[in-house]
Amino acid sequence: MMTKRRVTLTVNGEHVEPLVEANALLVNVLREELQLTGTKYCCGTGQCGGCTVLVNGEPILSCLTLAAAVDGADIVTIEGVAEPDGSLDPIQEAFLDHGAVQCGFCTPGMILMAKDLLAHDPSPSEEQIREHLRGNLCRCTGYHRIVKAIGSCGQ
Amino acid sequence: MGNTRILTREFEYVAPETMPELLALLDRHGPAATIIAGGTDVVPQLKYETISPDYLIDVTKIAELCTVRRDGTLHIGAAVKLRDVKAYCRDHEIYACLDDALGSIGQVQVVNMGTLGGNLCTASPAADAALALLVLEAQVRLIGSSGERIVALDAFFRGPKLTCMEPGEVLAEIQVPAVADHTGSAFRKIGRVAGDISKISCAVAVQSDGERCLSCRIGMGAVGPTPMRMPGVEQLLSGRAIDTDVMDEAADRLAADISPLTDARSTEFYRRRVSRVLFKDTFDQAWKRVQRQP
Repeated sequence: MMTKRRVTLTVNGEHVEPLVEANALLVNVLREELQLTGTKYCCGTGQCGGCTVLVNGEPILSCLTLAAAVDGADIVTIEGVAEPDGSLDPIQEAFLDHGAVQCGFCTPGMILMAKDLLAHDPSPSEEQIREHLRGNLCRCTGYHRIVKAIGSCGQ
Repeated sequence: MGNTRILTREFEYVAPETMPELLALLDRHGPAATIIAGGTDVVPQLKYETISPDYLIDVTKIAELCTVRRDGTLHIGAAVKLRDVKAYCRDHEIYACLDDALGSIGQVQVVNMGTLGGNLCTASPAADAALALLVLEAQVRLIGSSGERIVALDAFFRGPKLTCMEPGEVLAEIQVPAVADHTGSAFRKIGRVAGDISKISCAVAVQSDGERCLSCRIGMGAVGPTPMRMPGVEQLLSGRAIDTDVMDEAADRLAADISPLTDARSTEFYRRRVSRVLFKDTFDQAWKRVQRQP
């Protein structure tokens, strides 16, 4: 029986201290302990990008990350992208406007990758957008509308 | 295949903050301990149940493993993130082949998570960064409780997923010696899709006087049990004026010297055929980079 440890996290600006086992994955702590089910468990082996969250500002794969290893981290999930009053982020608006969401399963990861890209480069080219999203798979849209939506957010 | 949703293996997670603590843990737990850094390789292995440690030792909280410094030689701590190595190479063109190789590794997320030491310790014959470091003649510093030693990278790899590290030893640092003047380097690979593991890869570092190849180092990946140097081809090219006939001769020699296998990613036939073109393209790019230098 593994002992549980308390980890201190800031998730979407909120201070939380979940009790986690040594083998708990961050994706499961977010979804099951903190009920933040916007982050998706998809391939489980680091190939699809669906479980992407921002840890200390950088996108990482939460299905390959031990919760114990990110003790003290600042985490942003898709639930933390919109304003506290519920108004959507411009990237989320652009995804809606461009029809960039079909089944929606890859969308949280796509939007967090777009936020990361635009934070570093406010007006990326189409090539840069595709390059940045290359680790995020979508089985519905053919990517075209996702790329257009992100491109429309550039200044 | 194991469960990829959760880790079924139960283990203790330990994150030492100093090297002496780390070495004591490795001595105490021996083969029951596995080192984890970025987790992009160890966590899938835990899910597939190809490893079954009782202790998982996280080395990323040890400050001296997370620093980059340069005193002629470039010292990269084993737990430095690939993204930080990449950012460093961007600013220092002499390490161009390493920049190319890191640019071809996986997704943005993997580059944010993975470490240079992890890329080497995984000891994949197809490891991209390893091949670039091989032609930069990198060395690794290994530390154990009984002392430390420096090993040339081509002696570090012993076979697929096999290194020369003894039980209780840890990879502390990667050392890249100063690059000679008028040297250009490049790395290229062929994968199925962007970010895929290489079917075949090539790295070249060449020193040139504008016409002749003064010396060169050539490495090929995924064509043998480890990332391989090509001494026969290196000798053939050294001192020669570079033209298409010489390059054809070198490419023939290279295709004969590699020992590729047929596996899930590609065939022996394809790898041997394409090695000639990949090598010529990579050499050409390295050559152009020398000419661009002031």
